[in-house]
Amino acid sequence: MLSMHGASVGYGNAPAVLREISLTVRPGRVLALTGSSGAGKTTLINAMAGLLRPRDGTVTVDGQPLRDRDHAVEQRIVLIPQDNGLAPILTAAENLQVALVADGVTPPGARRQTAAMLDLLGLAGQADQLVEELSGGQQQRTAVARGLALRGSVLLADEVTSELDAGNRQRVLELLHGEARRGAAVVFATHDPEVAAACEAELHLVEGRAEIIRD
Amino acid sequence: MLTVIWGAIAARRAQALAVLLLAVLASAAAAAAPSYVAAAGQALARYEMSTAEPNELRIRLAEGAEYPGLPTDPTRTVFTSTVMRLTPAGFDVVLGAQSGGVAAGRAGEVTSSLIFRAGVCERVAVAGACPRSTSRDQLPEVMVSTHTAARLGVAVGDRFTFAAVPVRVTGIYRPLDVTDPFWLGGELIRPATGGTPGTSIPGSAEDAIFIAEAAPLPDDDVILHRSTADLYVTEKLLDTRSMPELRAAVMKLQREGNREGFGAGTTTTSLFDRIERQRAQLADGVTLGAGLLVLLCWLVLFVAVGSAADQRRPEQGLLLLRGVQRRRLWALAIGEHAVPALVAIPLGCLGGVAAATLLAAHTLPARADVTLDANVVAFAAIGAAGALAAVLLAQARMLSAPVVDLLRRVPARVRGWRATIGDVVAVSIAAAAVVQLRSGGSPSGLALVAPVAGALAAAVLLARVAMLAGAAVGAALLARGRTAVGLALVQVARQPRFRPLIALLTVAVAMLAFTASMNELASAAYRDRAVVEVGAARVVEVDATSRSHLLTAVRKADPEGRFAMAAVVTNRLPDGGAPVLAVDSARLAAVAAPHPSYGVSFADITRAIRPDPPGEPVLLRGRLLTVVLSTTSFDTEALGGNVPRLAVTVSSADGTRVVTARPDIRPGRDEYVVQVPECVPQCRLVKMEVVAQVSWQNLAVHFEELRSGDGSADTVVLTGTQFADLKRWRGSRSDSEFSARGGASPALSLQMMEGGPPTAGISVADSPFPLPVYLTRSVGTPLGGAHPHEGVDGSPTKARVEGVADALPHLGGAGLIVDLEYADRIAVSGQSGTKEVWLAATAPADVLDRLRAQGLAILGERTITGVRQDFDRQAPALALRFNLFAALAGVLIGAAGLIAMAAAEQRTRVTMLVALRRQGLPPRAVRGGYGLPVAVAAVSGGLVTLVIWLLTRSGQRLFSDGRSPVPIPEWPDIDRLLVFAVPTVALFALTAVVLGRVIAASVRRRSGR
Repeated sequence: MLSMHGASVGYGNAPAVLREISLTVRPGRVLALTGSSGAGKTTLINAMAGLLRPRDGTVTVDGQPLRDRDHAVEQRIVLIPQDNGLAPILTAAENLQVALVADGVTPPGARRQTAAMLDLLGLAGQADQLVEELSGGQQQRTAVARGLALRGSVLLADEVTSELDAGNRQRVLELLHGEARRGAAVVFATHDPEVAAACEAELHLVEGRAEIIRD
Repeated sequence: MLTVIWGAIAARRAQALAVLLLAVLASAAAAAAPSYVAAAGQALARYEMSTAEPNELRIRLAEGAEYPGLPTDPTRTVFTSTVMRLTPAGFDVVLGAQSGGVAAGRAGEVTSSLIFRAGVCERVAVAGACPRSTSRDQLPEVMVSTHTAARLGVAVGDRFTFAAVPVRVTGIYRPLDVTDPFWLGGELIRPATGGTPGTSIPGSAEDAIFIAEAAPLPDDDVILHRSTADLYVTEKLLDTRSMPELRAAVMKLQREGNREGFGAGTTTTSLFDRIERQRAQLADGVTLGAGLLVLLCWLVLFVAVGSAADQRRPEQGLLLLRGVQRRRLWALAIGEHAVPALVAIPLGCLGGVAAATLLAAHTLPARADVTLDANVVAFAAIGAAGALAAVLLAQARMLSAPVVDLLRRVPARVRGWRATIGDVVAVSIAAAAVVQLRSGGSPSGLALVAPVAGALAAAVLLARVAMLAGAAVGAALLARGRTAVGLALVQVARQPRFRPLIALLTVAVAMLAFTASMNELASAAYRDRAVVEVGAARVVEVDATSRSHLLTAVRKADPEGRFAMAAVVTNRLPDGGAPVLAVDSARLAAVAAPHPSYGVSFADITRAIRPDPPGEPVLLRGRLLTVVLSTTSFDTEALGGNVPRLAVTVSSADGTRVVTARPDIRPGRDEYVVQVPECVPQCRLVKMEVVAQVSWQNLAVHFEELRSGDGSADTVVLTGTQFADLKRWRGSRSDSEFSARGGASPALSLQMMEGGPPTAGISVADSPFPLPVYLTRSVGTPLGGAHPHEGVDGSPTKARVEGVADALPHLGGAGLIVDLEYADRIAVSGQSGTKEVWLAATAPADVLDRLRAQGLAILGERTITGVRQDFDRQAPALALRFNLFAALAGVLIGAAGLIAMAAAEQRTRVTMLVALRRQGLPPRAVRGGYGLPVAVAAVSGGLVTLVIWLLTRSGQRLFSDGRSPVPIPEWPDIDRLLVFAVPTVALFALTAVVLGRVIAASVRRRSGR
């Protein structure tokens, strides 16, 4: 279980972007993270992913303070970043395989899971294409495929449907909910109120402060 | 636009600085070549001057007629004013006057020259004083050499006469430096001659006698003199005037001098020819290194700027999206890079001159000034212009790409027609260069850069293969879960920009290996040729009275035969006949320097050319030789003046002499006495012949006894029995008939048949005949065959081929070697060839004094080390060193290319790796991937080296005079080659490791760990 208690998060010496944030992400639920642009959604996700250390307060995983991103990876906290975080020099399939092998999956297993997951996202035909040769939506689906393939205990998805058409957006949302049903805690940053409404919980960020809309 | 350009430069300061540095490097590389060539040209000219024959350094003008009186200063004569008018600018003029004559002193006399020569006093060490001008009431003053003083028996203050003119000795001189061209070689300081023990002081009794200006003699007609002017070639002249100019000036001088009756004689043009040839060879030779450097600089700029341009593709795409016209983008690109390229020209000039200065200081055989001239600036400008072109070419793809391509972060993997065209052009140029080089003749044009063109072509092709293979292997490794290596491979192999970098590193490795190999090969070839051409560690040219004297003197100087060997060498004949090397073969193995190219051991040669003689030599000791003869009866009255005579040939240290016995041969038994003063203490009987004008009847001459002595107590040298031992003799002529007479009074009977040859005789069979020789294979006479050649006495003879060698000491690939003693014994007369003493490295320091003590005059010497150094100072060697320097600089340029490439793509690389790290990629999998270009360069560099070695090695000039007579090794010493190759690859590998660490550190920082 991923929790934040009174966390303030910022960059360098600049004023904190998030202040006094407390929340708990529970397994089996999808928490929608909403707010206007610049409200701090990505910052909050980065803090939960171990990429940013809170100035005040704590981020814990199963009661242990989260040290950094490597610790987060160990704790199976999976991140699908806003910019997709794909290696442009690798193919779509290789991007998945590299992550899976790093996660300890055997190479044959990684190949199988990669094929299955790309097929699930409708990317079977693009598996061997370089990421740079994919469209923005295809890249976003590749990033989602990688996030899902890792089968984390916590899945942090940062606006992963922004470049998708309606059909693919629906497919991705269903897959995220499916992850929650598998038992993962899913945090999903989005601008879309309808998408947020479909989630079990919602946290709205306003000027760096969190407002729980639904829990 | 200027503001925009300035803004672009300011915004991309780092790139502008990198372009500036690399353009300076290119410009400096281009400028270094002409700077070095100019400096090395000076050094070569100075070195050629130092080794030139005296007559090559001066033009002698001499007055057509002789004038009465002692030699005097001709400064105020018409001759001098004419000489000054004719003399081209830049020549140093030494005026003089000379008379020939006999100097007679208390102890003896000598034929010499009395000479006035301006400047002589500054070039001698004088015991006493230099002569001064004298008045009528004074004796003319002279100075004589140490040797002349000894011969004449005069000291300072003494008088002697020269051509009957009394003169007074004011000084006894010794030349400070006898090799100074002022002394005109052996003209003023005459070399000693063999026969009498000498000293280490150069010169002889015939040295010039120097006089100052003297007052007119009471009778000037007793002596005549001729004015002379020696026009010397100076270093400054060679530095400032071209050789064709100088040649034309000298020819004009000769023409006009002859018209004036001055008989202008010189061989200066041969010096000019040599210098011109060496300079041309140097200029041709350094083209390879200069071409390599400039090419690498352009290539590294292409790589660096191309990589940087790739990073700016999205920015360019956005500009085009916003409606900026492409021509303005081109103008911006040109302007942004033209500024550093222009700034690079002056900096490159200075850098090039500095590099040339540094190189010149360490490689040139003589002092040389490296200067900045228009040529250097022009080459620097070419280097910078090429750099600018490379920069623009590197950006051409970006500037002409569709907007949609520009907006992609990773360029397309397939480079399309440009890359293919580039490969085709590179291969075409290389093929043309190699074909031109291998078509024979002196390399020129493209052929001069054939190795680097070949290396580039092979490198781009191998880089293409490496990229494809790297991508395939990387993908396979990723699929197999070998993430770290696979990721490192695909990071490079899927980036087209790495292809020119791989080619660059490959060329750098290959050219270093090639030039290092060529240097190594040249070094071996110089050593081999020096060993073979010299023959022994040290070879001293000597003057001896005869071959016998030479043999005896050397044997006395080295009685145990450990370090010295007498040798006589004849030159190749004009008709192409093989030259002959005659050696004291028993010492060959101990003294001569062995070499594998001979294909035979010295012991084998000695065994073959010095078998046991059929008979022992007949040695005579005493001034009288008595021959006891008996003949069949003949009518002396009827013969009149055609009575047969006995002629005896003896050989001593003074040479070979034929002595006719008196009286003529009489019928019956008689003793014939021959005066042989040279047989004290000892001489050798060569032959005895009966000589008649005509053969009028059958006649038998019986040799019954031979005695030697001074007439009072003669020693019997040969008894009748020994005469009758026919194996001791052979016919002195091929048609001489002789037989043994047995019985109670044994003797050797010589038959002269009526109507037969009028001369018949016997020679002592103290050497095998025909002479056994070892012949070089190239001459063609088979083993056991008879080989006609010119003997050591200059007369035609035939030898029996006892062995065939691939090459022989001193002679190289063509010639024959004989035993000197045997060759001397069968020699009829005469002197031919150069007399030498070969010395082993173990020869004692006083060996020359030992030789002089035996009456050998030292004329000159050469050593293996010295000859090797000479080769090392010639244009091809200097060019090879420049090329090695260029290749070493090329390695640094390669490393700079690797760094520039890494710097340009670091941001992208780090961003990607950080993204992967956030997805769980372990830290150990974060690698730079730069090891791939290095590994590929190491392997393909080796392959490329092999290719260009096989294709172009034979076209590389190692010797100024063309090919070596000694086979040049096919392959360099691999160990020595590794000395260069391993550090090069290590440097690249270290650079790759450091760059990888930098990437890893950056990724760590960005990843929060």
